[in-house]
Amino acid sequence: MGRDREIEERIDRHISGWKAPFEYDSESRAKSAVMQRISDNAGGESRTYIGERKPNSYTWLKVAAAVALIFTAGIAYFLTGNKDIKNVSESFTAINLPDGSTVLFTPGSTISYNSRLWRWNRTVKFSGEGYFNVKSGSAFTVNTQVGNVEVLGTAFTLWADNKDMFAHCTEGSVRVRNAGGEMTIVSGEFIDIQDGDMAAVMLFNTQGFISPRPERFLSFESVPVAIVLNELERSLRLKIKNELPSNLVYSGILDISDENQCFQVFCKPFGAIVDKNADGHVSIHLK
Amino acid sequence: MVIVSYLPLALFKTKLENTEGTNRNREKLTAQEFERAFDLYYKNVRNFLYYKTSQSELAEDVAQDAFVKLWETRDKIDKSSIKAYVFTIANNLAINQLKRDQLKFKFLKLQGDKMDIKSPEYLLEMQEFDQKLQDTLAKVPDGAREVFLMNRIDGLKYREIAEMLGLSMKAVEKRMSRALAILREEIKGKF
Repeated sequence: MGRDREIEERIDRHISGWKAPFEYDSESRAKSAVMQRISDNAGGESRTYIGERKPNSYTWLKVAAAVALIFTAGIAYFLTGNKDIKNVSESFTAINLPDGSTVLFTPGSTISYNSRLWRWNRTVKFSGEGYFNVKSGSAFTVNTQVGNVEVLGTAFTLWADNKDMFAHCTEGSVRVRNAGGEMTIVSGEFIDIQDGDMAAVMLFNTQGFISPRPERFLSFESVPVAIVLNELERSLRLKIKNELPSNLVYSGILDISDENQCFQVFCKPFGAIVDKNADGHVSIHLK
Repeated sequence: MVIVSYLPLALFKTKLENTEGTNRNREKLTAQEFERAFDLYYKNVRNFLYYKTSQSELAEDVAQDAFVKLWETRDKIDKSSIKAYVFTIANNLAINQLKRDQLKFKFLKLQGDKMDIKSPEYLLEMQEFDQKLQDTLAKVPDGAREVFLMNRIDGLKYREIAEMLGLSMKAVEKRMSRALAILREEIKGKF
């Protein structure tokens, strides 16, 4: 028995120093191989498996939250690109658009655009009077409440409020659209839409345009008085009650740096009178 | 914003579907359970196959096949018997693929604290003893040899071996005794 015991202990001693002949990392390699085979063999079966574990509800929550976050961040990113600019100064103001185009606009005028989307969508919303000098590139569109102006050339002057619109093309050409149709004008031409009615479109020659001048002057040539007073209302930031006959037109230059003198100059050809009440509102009527 | 407003509903539906799925397939092996089973048993299965065949490549291939088979039949098995099931698959696959060549083991020697400088004669004797032991193991009958090596090399307890191979404790003890007796008799006359 003693000899048997000795042999068994020797056997155990030797065997305890053995290991099966596999490399130390063979298990991880085998695991990868098995998972790959399962994935490859999935065929008609569900392919849900290791490395692509079936997501639980918490995983879905994280995925959904990430999607919502990205979506919201994307919206926020583009919303932060919205620019709404109003000229609250008392002089002409120039702004540079993201592509280098410039807009020179009068006091009280407003312009809106999205700088984030500008690369893909060169569109501005505009109200007031402005001189646009547009860099070449994709379509450049100015939306007003009355109609849209699509730039085909490089420079134009635009005047627009909620009812009427004038556009004067100084270089190239612009296409003006509204509900009534569309019309293209070229350099030196001037288009006028009154009361939103395209049928009232008038095409003027070069003597009839409003010149953009970065001074304190407004220049008119045979422009209906209602339009002139609207422009003064915006430029002087006043409420003006127009009691003049609608068939009157005005030609001349008005210096808006001096309100009283401006109204005197305007009223003189018609023999009109300006009344200013206590709350600063102005009414203009014939004697 | 619309997406956000629908989130609670989507989550509720997902939760509901998951719950229903669990109830319908309460015993079905999940991916996580399969992965855990692999981590727990792959090494034992592979070694068992080596002890059975003495072919390391075959052991690795068959062990992997066994786990792929386990996954493919995951909806038919009782999760409480995964261990025995994968060993049974492995054993059956090995029997089908095993070439009845003479077994020839080549165990690796662990580098431990027995690196004292020994005489050349001693080292030679050890080498001869190792070779004799490996050759003798090849003569130990199937069943007894695997059980013996699982216990001695892998350090598995009799109870664990019994669970893995679907044997009784008594059967394991008998196989151990048989293996040891053969080794003892073969070695005794030589050293």
